[in-house]
Amino acid sequence: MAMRTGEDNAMQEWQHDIPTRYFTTYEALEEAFRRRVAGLVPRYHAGIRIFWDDFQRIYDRPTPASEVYEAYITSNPRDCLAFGTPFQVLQGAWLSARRRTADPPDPPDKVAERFGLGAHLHQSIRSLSGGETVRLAMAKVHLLAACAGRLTVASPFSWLALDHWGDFRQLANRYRACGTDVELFALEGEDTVAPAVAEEGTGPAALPFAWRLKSLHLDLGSLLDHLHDRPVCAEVANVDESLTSPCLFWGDNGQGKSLVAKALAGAISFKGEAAVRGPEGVRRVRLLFQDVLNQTLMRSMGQLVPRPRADETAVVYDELRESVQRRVVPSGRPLLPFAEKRKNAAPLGLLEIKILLAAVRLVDRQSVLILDEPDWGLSRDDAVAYVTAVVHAAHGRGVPVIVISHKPWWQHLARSVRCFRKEPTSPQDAGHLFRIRITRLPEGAS
Amino acid sequence: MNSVMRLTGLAILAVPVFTGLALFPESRPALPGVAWLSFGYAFLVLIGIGALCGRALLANALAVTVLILAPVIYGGATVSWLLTVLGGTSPEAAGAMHGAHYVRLTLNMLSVIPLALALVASIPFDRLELRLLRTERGIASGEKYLLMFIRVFHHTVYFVIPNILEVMREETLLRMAAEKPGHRSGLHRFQIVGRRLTAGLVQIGISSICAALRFIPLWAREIDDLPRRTPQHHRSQT
Repeated sequence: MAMRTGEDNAMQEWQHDIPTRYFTTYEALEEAFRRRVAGLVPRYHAGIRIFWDDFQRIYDRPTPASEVYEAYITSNPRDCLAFGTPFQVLQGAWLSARRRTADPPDPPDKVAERFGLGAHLHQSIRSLSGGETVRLAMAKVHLLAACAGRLTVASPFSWLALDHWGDFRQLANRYRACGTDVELFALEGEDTVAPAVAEEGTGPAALPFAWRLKSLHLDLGSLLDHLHDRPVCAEVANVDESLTSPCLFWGDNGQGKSLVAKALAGAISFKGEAAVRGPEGVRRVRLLFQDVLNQTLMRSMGQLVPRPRADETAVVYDELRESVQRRVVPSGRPLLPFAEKRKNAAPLGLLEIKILLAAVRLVDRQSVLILDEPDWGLSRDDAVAYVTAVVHAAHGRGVPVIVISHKPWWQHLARSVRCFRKEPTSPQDAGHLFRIRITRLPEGAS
Repeated sequence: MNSVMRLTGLAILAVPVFTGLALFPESRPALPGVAWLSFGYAFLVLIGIGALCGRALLANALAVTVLILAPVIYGGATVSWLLTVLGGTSPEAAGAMHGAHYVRLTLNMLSVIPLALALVASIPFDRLELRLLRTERGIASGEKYLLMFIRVFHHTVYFVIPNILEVMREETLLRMAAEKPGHRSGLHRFQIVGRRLTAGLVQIGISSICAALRFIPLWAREIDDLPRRTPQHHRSQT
């Protein structure tokens, strides 16, 4: 597979002229982004020692008065929201903007309406969907346009669906109209929508499986939400059908794809039935979260793979590693074999973490493996090679694979596609925030 | 039930145990040195928390209580008993010397810890944060400290703990730790399971502390950036 440069694709497909810096790896992007936003976002995944070094560096850092006031959105937009509800985030930004400029910005309520957050103003940020979180981050930055000296955004092509690109361009234009610099940080190939196609003759074979969702009610909040009488449940329409792996769960930002996946994997509590019958029968569902860095819980390779399971995991890890390397030269450092990597003290890169977590999950041959936004934090070529490698390895073990993405270009790798759509609930369904519908054919697909 | 009623109910329940008031000092003993009413009070507190805050919160508060209580009580009682026996007292007499103290301590912890957790959980911190930010006149220095405290509390309760729980559930971490380690038997197997459980819990503890602290510099900067209230201005609602 030939390497493409992000710059070639940027102008064709996302149609923008915003200055963009491209990086080969997530680690390089995050390092540059942290330097740009005055080091405010510490690394989390690199281990406890580096965490503390970062923490001390940021905490001890004096803030010069002349420093440019930086507006920014992080590569995971939730990381740049500092208060508990959308109203508080916007009110905080409004107060900061008003302090710095004589011309008061629009009030928070008005900005919330403009970004489609009017109904979610007093909802806990934890219970916002991905799409609402993205819109909130953009609304906050919109308010800060009045006073910011620069806007820097990390990986917008990853967290923003192409359908919403117009909103983002409007935001960037607002800054440019004030004479403020705007710059994007992106991974190579992140801004392409060209279909992902497997090489001739090496595409994954189809593998059938069945899934069933019945009377499913998802619990989105914490115990405290229940205590303070906040509605924190969502309902999912019934499904009982056969699918073919690799299957794509597709839909716009924040339509409930990840929620359903977490329910299937038992990661969130729910009422009702959510089960998958794979070739080996009804077994557990394993899930790789979008934010795999949080999923590691700062554990080292040795802690993620206990010694009794190391040999089995090593076989799958090395198979995935070789498969990725056959398809593409991985960006950044070379991928070391499992045995060498286990002895190596250097922290795992994002691609290595994803390979390791997939390997751990494939060892047990469960009902299905779900990859939530597998391209998050990877260059386009690495992402395609990684997903293809995981599907091959999983099918070889009789494990079907579900890929979750808001990017329609994954459809060309999938043998079945299910479209997710969030709908408002009727007044009789008090206590439910919304209802998730899952349909066979993508409606209005991009 | 609104927050004020819930907090009032919990505060009434908490008066005896938090103030140390002996409401029924002369009641009949259930065990030597432990009154029936001590059991009754602990039971009443748990029933009260269940009624005021719900069974789910009670179950979680009890789980936390037992995690704290078990090593403190068993460890403390064992060490005291051993020291007394080593001092020349017979094992039966040594048990009788400290038994009542540890039973009372257990009952005390069964009341204090769930009550403290329920009280903290019942405070509407989000509304407090909202109230502090609903201003056009700026925010006082003390309010900024309070905002910072609320932010860390919120992040821990709504992000850190749920994220860790999601990962643990997906991996069924505790079940894996308790899996039978091969063909080992007896004490050796127990040691391996214990080591795995301890290592897992320590790792989760470290991860949760780091996750809770992770964004403090970012929040500190954003909160510090809010306009400071000038003395002549009064708070008003937007």
